[in-house]
Amino acid sequence: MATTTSSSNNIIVIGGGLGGLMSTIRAVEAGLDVDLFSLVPARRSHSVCAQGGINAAKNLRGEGDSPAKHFDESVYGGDFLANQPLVKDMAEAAPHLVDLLDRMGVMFNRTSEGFLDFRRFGGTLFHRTAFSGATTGQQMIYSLDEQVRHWESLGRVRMHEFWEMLDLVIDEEGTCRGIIAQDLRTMAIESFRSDVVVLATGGLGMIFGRSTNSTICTGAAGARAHLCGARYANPEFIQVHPTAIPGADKLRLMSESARGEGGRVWVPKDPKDARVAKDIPESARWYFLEERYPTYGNLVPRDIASREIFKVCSESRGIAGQRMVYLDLTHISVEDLNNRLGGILDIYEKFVGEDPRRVPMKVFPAVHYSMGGLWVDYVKDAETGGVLKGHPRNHMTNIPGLYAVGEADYQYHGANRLGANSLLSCLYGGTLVGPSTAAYLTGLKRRCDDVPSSLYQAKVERQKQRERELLARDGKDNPYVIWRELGESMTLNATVVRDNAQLAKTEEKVIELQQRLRKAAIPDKGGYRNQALTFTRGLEDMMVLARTIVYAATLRDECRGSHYKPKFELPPVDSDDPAVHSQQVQTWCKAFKVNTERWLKTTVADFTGVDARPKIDYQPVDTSLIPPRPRTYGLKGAKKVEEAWAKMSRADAAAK
Amino acid sequence: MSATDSIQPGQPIRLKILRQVCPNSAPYWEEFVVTYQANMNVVSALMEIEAKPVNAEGKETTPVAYDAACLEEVCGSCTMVINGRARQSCSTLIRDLKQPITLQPLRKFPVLRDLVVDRAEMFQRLTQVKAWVPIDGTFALGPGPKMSEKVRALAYEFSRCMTCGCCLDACPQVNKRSSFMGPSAVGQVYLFNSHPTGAELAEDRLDELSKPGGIAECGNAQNCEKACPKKIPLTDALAHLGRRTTVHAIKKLLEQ
Amino acid sequence: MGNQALSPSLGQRLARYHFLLRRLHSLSGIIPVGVFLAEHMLTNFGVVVGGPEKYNHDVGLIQTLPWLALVEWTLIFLPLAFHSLYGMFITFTGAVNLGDYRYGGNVRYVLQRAAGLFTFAFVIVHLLKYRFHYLIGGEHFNFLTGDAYRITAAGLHGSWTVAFYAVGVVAAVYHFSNGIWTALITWGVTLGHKSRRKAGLLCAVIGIVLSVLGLTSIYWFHRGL
Repeated sequence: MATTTSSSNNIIVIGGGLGGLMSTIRAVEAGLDVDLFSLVPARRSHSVCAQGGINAAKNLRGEGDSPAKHFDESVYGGDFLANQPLVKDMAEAAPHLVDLLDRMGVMFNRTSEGFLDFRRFGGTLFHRTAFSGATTGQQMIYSLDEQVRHWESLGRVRMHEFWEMLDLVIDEEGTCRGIIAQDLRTMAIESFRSDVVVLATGGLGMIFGRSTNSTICTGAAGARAHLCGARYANPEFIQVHPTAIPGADKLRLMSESARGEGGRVWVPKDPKDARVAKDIPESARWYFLEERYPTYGNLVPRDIASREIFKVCSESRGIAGQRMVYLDLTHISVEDLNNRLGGILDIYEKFVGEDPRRVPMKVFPAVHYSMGGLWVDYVKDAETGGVLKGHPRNHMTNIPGLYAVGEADYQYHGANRLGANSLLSCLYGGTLVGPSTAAYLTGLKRRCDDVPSSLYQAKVERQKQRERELLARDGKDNPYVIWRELGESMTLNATVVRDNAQLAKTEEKVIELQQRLRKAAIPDKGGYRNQALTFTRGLEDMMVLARTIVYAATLRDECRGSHYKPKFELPPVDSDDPAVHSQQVQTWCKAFKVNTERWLKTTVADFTGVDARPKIDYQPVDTSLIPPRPRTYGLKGAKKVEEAWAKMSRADAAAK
Repeated sequence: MSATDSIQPGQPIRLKILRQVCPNSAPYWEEFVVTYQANMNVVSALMEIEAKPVNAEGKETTPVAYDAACLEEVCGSCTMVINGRARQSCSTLIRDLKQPITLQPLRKFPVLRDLVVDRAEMFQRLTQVKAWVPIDGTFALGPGPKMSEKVRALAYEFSRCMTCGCCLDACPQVNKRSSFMGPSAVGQVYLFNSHPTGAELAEDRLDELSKPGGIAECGNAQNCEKACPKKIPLTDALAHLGRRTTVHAIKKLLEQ
Repeated sequence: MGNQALSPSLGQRLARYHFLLRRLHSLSGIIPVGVFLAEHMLTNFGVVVGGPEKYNHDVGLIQTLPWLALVEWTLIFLPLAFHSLYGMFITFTGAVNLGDYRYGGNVRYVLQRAAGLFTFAFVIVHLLKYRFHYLIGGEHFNFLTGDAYRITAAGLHGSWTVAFYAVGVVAAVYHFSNGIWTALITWGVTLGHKSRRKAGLLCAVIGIVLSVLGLTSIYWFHRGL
């Protein structure tokens, strides 16, 4: 039974987070009607967890900031792996998007004169981040949800909350024609026709067990699209946030804005120092980030900060030798802290039982964001160097009619996302998707109404069959236990520091868990709101992505952004002897050039089977606007390298 | 209120959970014992049950169904009645609770399964009170209206409402005999009426507040403010809007 | 919704005035009912400060007011009936949850309703005892020609009656003073925490003063000469 839909004007959006909501609003404005599917009510989507803010180079402090600088820093922050036309347009659109949010009623913090206030964030020296206390994502998603609710009240949007997408319907031409979805209350499985499906399904933190992500961020929807033939790009680039609060159920995010507002990371110089933090004098504290990166200090990009914290703790120099460092806000006035960071400080206090306004917080890195995601296309505007707006291929996957947006896609962030760029990329992606889908529908000759309903019925039947098969399993293993094992293995070996031997073991582990899961009995056979069934099916699909992540990481033998393999670091530049040093600089620059040519490429994975490795290809990255350069962030002693590289590139350019 | 301050990792904790198989089946209690871990919250106890679905009698059972998403008290999903009071199961720590810990679904909403309820009504109320800012469109129209930081800071309090339902559970005026929309919806009226553009719909919202089920249903118990996990000053909103709705209703009466 | 009916039903009409009706209920509790209560307490207290003579004199003044019956019915009985009957309906729309939510405000909320209900019973007894005694086959008291003090004191002789009266007066006064406090929120006078705390103190003072007036008066009548 192919149920609902479709007037010729109808699109399906999966996911009620920022990307999905913005796509919805833009699609409605472009004249389309939208069926929005979401695991939870839209305003409970994971976007609520975004704390710190959204970047927009409005230069309201007269610092000389500009979208061009925002563009450059985002590309540099992502180690040049992002396709630049999209990043450029995103940075240019950012000030307008923040104005739009402001008009929608997002309660951004203001200056005493009533203008938007901006704060600092990682990877930049400018005050570029607009914020709403420390709950910016929550405020933004509420405002968008409210706009969508308005459209819903006018009959233009239909909400399907507590529905999960199980499968895509792809016709014999390979075009996307709708979805199979399940009502998570009644467990009814139905098909929905539509010529456009937008996946705005967010991240995949659950693959790593405990992370800063919500429990709904399984990555299963992306995996299902991948299973249907959608290509998956840059899976190995997983952002680990430097500061999270360890917990049994979750690693709660402690926003980068804490450092943006002046928070300092340190450990006692003597790891055996038994004094409480407050009693340790300045002279006995080691502010290792500030020491190594004098310019950016505590606001180096996340991959660098996480690596440094990891390194300090791996050398047993964490607090009391444990895997924790101090994040200290106690030197800032309580009033400022409450006004600008209140929300997250309350969370810390509630969960840890200590007041971070008075006692330095104890934090450790945690999996936070997936730079990679479904491969999506864009069309470049030769005139501006940006994106050709309104082109149907913008944000379309390799499957016609299937789009992806937000954390679910791979664009914008390259090898490492800058803080406060994710809210921006979700919104900006959404503004592209709306018109793209409208243009696609205009040019589409055969419509989903022409597709025989037998195709939909067969797909529904296949999902019902899968469910029966899942419920019939009777092994001893528990799916939740298998998930924990997956998370532990992935977190240990596929995050901050990677090593091919460890990755190989992890791949074996994933395969073993996959096998065990196939026999594991689901502890609930109920026919109403069967959470264990939903979880297990999702986990099975997550396994496919887990393997893709591990395999892609194994293949990429270099260090780039969040992907760090010590064995493949560029040669050291550490000699005190000026002559040797200068020689080292030259060697380094040559190695950098070779490495860039070999590895500055997008990883693209094709699904080949649940028990097989994906087929991995590499695609060139569009670096036409800003040529790649060494990513040093003013590391002590790196200035020589930058100068040598600049000289070398000039010489290369002259030779051409 | 550290009821069991001395609890140590490894010690057993007892939970009594009100369960229900589906919307129209009879509820029943089931007891569980899970092992305490440092800083354990209620939701991780439920996760322990998922990983080992065995009740206190040692019998195999189904994992307890519950809503959860962010686990850091911003999404509003995991609200349930814990030891008689509605709260977020993520931010309620086991060490602060008396044992056996009782878990029940929220009492003012239809139960779907176990601790999962249907809070659709809360979202419908948002539509009813037009909880949005009526903008012309998402194209570039320049900056939003200027706002003083003072007004913004107060409005921000209300924009943190996560429609979790604690205030409705605590409100004695929200029940089957009354059609009261509840404090959260009134708080949202306050939020949107305080926004310069949002105020364009202020009269419509006051109309809704003056209908049966509107603000006059409030009984001033002020439980909402106490029960709100975000400490949103709901009584202030009720007072402000009490005044505005009165003026609005009298004006309308005279203009009839 | 109502697309079928051309003329609005009674329910729809009531719904239209729902809010104003609730406001009228809130208002009636203070003006005139509450004001009358305060006046009543003051008049009774006359017996404490000036003995039976003052009490009889004050009662006499009231009894010789022009249009007394009209005043009595429009300013006291009808508003009182409206306030109490509609109030009982409102009470019925609440559901006590004090067991789970033991907040001060919640205690006051429950007490307000309990006190209201008790006051209703008390007022009926009180009216049947003095004002409408003849309706239940008793004497038709005339507070102008008869000795008002004696009539009153005679009715307050028994200790059970006095206890009932003491509780009744305190309930009425609590309902009134707490009602002022909540009305100040309802009408949007006390908008913030600080103003509510100050108003709370003021209402507590009003409540205590009126209770003291009422209780000493009862004692004075009970004690007799």
